[in-house]
Amino acid sequence: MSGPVYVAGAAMIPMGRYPQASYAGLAAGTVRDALRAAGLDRGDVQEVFCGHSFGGMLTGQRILAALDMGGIPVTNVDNACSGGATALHHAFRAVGRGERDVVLVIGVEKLSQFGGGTLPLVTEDREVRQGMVMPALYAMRARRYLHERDAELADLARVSVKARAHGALNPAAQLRKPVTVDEVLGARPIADPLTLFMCCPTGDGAASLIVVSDRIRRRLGRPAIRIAASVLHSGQVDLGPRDMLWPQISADSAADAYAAAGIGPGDLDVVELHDAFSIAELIYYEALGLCAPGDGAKLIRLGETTFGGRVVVNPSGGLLAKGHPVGASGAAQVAELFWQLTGQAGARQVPGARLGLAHVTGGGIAGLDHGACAVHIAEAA
Amino acid sequence: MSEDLAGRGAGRPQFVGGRLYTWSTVHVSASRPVPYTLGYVDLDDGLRVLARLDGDPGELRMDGPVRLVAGRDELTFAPLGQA
Repeated sequence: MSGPVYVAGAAMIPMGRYPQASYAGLAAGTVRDALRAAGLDRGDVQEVFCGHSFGGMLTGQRILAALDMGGIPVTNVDNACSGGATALHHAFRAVGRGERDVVLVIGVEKLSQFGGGTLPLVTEDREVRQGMVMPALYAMRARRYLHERDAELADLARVSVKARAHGALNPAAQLRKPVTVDEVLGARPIADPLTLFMCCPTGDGAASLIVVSDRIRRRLGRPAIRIAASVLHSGQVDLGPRDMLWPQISADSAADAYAAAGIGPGDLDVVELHDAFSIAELIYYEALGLCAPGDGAKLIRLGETTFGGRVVVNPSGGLLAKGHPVGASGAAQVAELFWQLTGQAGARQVPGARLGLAHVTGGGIAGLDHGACAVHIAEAA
Repeated sequence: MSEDLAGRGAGRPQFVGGRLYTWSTVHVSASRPVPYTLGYVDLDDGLRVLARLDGDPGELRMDGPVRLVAGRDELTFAPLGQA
């Protein structure tokens, strides 16, 4: 028996570097704050899904222990950059099926444990052994994009400029200092043609969501959002000449989400998409159907995806400016949708926002466009 | 293998290699000396492989021909015309 699923509370810590913090230290406060926002207590939580990649064994349980919570089922979820959203997907299924009324979703990551630099990938993967790193993968996409599309390097820089402008409005963003196109183009080269400011920063963060049934939502009587779609896909191996400008996994996930929610991309007011690198935003505009294939650069040039435009993309600052502690990002995106769709987004409020989409896609694996993709669509309740 | 390729019609490259779909020179790494250049090479039999690109990255061309470089620890290609 399936029923509607709601997010009734959300919280996150400002993303940044917390080298002295533990995973429990990063996340515990967000659990308390999310429960308080929902009007619920620790004892109301029936199950927990905790998304992370690098916290080690039993990260969710260590967080609960810090809150004197326990006994209930805890599942730790890794799906690289899609971990937090995958945790939400499981909560969605548990509540939607009528198995649970109150489920806690945590997304948490501490990338500062690795110092700086690129995300450590798994050396069992043959491309990783050849020196593949995520910036190189996206840099290769960028080079092909600039070759095939009517786009210039400055368009990539414009994505970063927008991200930082939005980040300046978000107290929870890791990078809050605006930048110019010239500063982005002139920043330190990471993997040609991507510069440092075209790449998301290395950082830490945590976000919690309280997922509830309709019965609980009506009892609580507080602002909430309905999860209209929750889609999760894995990548498909293709050793042949894949079109690197068309991420099939993201396109399929978005199409499934629109179908489940009964809406189209034109209905969205706000989108939090996977802008781990500025080129990613241009590519995902197309894959998520926010524009026709080929028109990604036009959207950013015309200001269609910032405040006042057709659909505000990454009002939070996105992964580029808000940050990308991998397991946390998917949960933090939906936290942003929660605030946007309940009118609590402060200086970065998208006026009248009623429908939002969150998209995260993770992992470099040889032969796949990505390992995982999770898309959620939410509606003001 | 070169003879096999040579016999199959006009326009086929007369060398062991493929076309360079895209590449990037990596400048920051915790695990190997930089800079190094990686690219995806499309082979004639429908495979795409990730490989090192040898030589001056300024010589690389989109969809340009690249040939296999022998004797390397890692799979390596170079633009046609370079050693």
